[in-house]
Amino acid sequence: LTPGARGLALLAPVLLGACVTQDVRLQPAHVEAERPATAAACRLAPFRLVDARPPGPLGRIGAHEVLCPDLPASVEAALQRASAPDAAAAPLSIELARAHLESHHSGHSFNLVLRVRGRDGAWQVFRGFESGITWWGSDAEFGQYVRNAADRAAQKLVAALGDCSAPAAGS
Amino acid sequence: MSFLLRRCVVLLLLLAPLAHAAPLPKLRAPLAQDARASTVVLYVQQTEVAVDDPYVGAPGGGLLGALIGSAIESKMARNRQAAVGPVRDAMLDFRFEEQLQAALKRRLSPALVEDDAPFVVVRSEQEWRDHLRRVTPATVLLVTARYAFEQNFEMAYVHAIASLQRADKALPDEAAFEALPNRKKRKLAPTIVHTGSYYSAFVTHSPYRKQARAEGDAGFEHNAKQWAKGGAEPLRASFSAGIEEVAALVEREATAALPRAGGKVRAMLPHSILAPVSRRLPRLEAGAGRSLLQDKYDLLWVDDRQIKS
Repeated sequence: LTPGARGLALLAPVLLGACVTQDVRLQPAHVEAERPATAAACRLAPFRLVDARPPGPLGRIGAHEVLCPDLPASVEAALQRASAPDAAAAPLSIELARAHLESHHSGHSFNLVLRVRGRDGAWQVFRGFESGITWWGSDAEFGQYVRNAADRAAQKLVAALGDCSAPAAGS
Repeated sequence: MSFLLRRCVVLLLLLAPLAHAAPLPKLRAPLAQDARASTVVLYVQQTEVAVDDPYVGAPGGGLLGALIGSAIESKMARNRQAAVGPVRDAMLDFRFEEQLQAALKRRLSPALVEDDAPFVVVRSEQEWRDHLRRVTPATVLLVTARYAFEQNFEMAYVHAIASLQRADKALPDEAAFEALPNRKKRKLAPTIVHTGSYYSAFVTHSPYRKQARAEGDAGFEHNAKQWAKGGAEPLRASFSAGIEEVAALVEREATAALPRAGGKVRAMLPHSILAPVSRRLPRLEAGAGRSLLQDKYDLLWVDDRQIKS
């Protein structure tokens, strides 16, 4: 393939947009996980999640656009899974900055980015990603990418901003 | 495996027509006043810098070979995702679409685009069709853009495909459109009057020279760190310059303002499917450490360090 042919391949999805038949829509059941039996070891202040992603779908799987309308709720659930609440701490504003699925030859990668502005005005960024072979291409399999990336980003955030000095109740 | 098989079939179907690809439609004469674009659409799918897929060569050995090839490719993709993380974090506030839109507004002349043509950003094919529904009948300049690293982070590049399209056939609403057979959907597609493919590639060092790197760092990790330095300033500057270069090329090719091809040079170029490729191409222009090369379908600005001396 010449770079020109590659260019045509890039243009092709636009020209072949007519081939789109339906979206891939991930449901809450695909991206939610069971809460662990024991509470997490760190406490996190009450938080407000602000969805600040650029508009558009999460990505594409073949000719289909990937949508996940309940992603913010899933991210909130991931943060709750990763921590115990610390009602006494000052509230935290967490920004959901990016979430996108990338297609590879035989698999996919999903990135999810949270960030919090520090007192000095600088952003602290917490990125979680999941990357691997896609075997079946089912909605549940794609939901697993989302779930794992959200859990990793949430765990990084809690480790950096949570209070891990004393075990949380129930841990 | 059904997903892998499906991807292979789709890829083959996509590539088959390219073996006999017709020349791209090009403008042969200045556009008439009423044939200029009345709207400019930027189509950008990504929200962060992309990384080209790893190329692991053709897998042999049947199913076992395919599985091994997939496992290697998957591992490489995961490594690249980890390496690009810090660069992406530093680039969260980089507004690619806004910069490209501003560059096109500055560069596109009244010879190609109507004076008061609106600029619109779309991020999906449905948004593109929604836009066509609003403006048809119209001539639209569609600019599909991508910004990425090649798989080893040696080169960062901006790629844009610009196509001037005449949309005469009104699209039905989305539900009715979805219900149409593919043959009828294709018939509703706009007519392409002119199209071109434009690259602008950047490096932090010559890809022909081996780099000293920290112990334990693979080549791609070393390269990713070079781009991430100083809050990813090298990458930010490269993409900003690349946006200007491709925007200028869109205008220059459509208005026949390109010089004739000169002597050939061998250059290392990004390639999103086959990894970087070394190609011998005619040089159209040079200056300030940059060279404009021409491939069959592409115009490519490259850093002179990408050219083999």
